[in-house]
Amino acid sequence: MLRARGATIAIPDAAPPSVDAPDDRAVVARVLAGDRDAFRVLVDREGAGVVRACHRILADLHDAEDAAQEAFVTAFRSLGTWREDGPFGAWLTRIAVRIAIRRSQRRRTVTWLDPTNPGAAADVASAPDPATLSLQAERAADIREAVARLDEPYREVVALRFFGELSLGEIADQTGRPLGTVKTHLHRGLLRLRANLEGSGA
Amino acid sequence: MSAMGPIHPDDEARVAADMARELEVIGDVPGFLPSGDFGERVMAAIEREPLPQPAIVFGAALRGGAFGRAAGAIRDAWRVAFGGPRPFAVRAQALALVLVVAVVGLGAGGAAIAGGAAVLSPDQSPQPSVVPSPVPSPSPTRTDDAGPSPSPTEVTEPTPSPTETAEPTETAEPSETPRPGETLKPGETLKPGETLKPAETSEPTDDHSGPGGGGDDGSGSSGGSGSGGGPGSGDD
Repeated sequence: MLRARGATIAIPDAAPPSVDAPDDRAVVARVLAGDRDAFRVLVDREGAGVVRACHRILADLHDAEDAAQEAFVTAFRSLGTWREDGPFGAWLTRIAVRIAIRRSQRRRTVTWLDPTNPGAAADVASAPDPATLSLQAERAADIREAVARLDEPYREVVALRFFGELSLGEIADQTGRPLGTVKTHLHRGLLRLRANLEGSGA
Repeated sequence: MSAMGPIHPDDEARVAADMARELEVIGDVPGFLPSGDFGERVMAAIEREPLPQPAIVFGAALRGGAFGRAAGAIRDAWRVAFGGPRPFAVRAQALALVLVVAVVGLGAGGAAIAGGAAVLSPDQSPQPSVVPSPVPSPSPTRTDDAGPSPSPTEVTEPTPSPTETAEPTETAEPSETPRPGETLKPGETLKPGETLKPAETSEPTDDHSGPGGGGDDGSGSSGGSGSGGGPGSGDD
């Protein structure tokens, strides 16, 4: 996965540049005009990224796909609210991250204990030994829980940044906040996240 | 794992960077792809949804009793109608929905206001009626009424007196006064001021009721009440 690292905070690549905003608008206009099948274009284009974002939060493929499907349905229902001032994928990712976090809060206690989790298995695959794997899985679960416990707006900014892989500019566009405010929220969110992890003994 | 402990302000940037790197690693699965039928499942779910046209969503929400969703559809309709570029048909539908909801809302609001006013107005009318009731209850008004009332009654009393004076009219039996014996001493009858009526001066001789005669009224000409010819007789 391509990522450009900044001076102090790693900055993943922005949303896939393949998404062309005017094309998004055209597809959405077709759907709004009654062409329901046109939505498939958006599903095929954004499906993988949305499921990946949900998987980062939920650490379970099935749950992630369920959350992603709910995000697509939600986006379809409220397609008229898309402001068209940014990529459709960023708007959809914001919906998906919100849904995934809500789901993770509901089943928080069992998230990190799933040994059959395909995602966890993939994580584990690169680990050198079972003990390290176990520690890494437990640490990842703690961090997910800590993110879910963050207060708004820090939770949303951190989740969109690291789970949704949106750029700071996209987050600013989607949340309607100034870029400087988003940077501040991200910085404070990371510090609060560390404090929460310390508080939980992780 | 990072060392735990209070974060010094100078270390904030480093701590944030460490935290960011940890977050990047979480769930990072190279080549991760959703299952093959994911798109089909999503489209199957989409098929069950009404078209995302605000008017359709609004109708479906109302039929389903989802008022929150209906409100969301109205909000969407507003955005579609007055927001960014949209196909004319879509914008027209949204605008129609907004107008219909606005008209219905205004009508319902007006009816509610009228109904509320109608309900409240009876409640307000009794309140004033109750308030004034204690106001008259205080005796002052009655005392006021009582004060003047007696005076008029007293005023009326004098009216009977004239009626009594009328009696003299009855007594004014002139036929009796003409009694020759009594009328023989008219000089004595001059005492009272009833001499005003010279013609009757002959009668005043009887005016033992003179003053009562008050006959100033004229009716009392009865001066001739002097049936009793008392004075006159006395003079004798």
